Amino acid sequence: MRRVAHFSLIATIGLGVNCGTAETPTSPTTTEVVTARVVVFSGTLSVGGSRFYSFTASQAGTATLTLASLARGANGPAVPATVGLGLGIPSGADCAMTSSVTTGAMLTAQITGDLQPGIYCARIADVGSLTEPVSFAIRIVFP
Amino acid sequence: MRRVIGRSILELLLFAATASAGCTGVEAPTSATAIATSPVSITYSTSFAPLGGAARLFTASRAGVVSVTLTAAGPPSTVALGLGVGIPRSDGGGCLLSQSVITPAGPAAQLSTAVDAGDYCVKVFDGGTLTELVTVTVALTHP
Repeated sequence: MRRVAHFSLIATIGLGVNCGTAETPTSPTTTEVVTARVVVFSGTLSVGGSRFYSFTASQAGTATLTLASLARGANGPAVPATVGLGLGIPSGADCAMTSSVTTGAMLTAQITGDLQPGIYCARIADVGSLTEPVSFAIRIVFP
Repeated sequence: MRRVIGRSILELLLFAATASAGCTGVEAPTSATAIATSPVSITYSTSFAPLGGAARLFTASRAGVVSVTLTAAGPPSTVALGLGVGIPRSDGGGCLLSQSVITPAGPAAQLSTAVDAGDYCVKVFDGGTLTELVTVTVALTHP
């Protein structure tokens, strides 16, 4: 009887050693779910012109701006131009940018920013490369 | 003495057996994983008239690379068409192109670009050369 108990103890230790890492309890965590909203700001950018769009972040979180399209007309081919793209705060009749880049259209975000609840704006402007008006589309993801 | 050594060997064997067998369930690979669903490959065919085009929507479930191949077009089979990738208009009425090329059909991808997770579209369109209805086949791979 003592021998059976002894071998059972050995087996139990073996199981415990091997599974120690897998069974280690993790401390509970709290995950805050931030719902992102997506809007597409589209229009026509004239030579030497600028446009901006205001949006409201209802909670803190990350915003991204993607200049996704520069095209010849609303249904035309893509145009390989570069323009100014910025994220900022509305100021009077314009958008005071806090971050900006000069970029062509692509499908990955060119600007990422951490926002607190409030009103912000996305701005696009010709930086001198346009020779004709272009259609543009900016995808804005914000909390 | 021999009995003691024999028992120790038996204990070691028992320990090793239970240690290796105890966590089979934890370490067993699972057959269903998210990786198996990405990338997604789609092949579709559609037709459009001169000066027209056709767009198809798709959703990238994660960041990655989108590849688009105009694999067949015609008549005639040598016709060059516009092929582009972009984001859908917010009103659902078209595809705002980020990149586009004028290309004949072929086996290699004519467009390849990085994308973030989100909604996108592929568009095939007449660049102004069609004189009759054309049928195209497009192969699309996306994350």
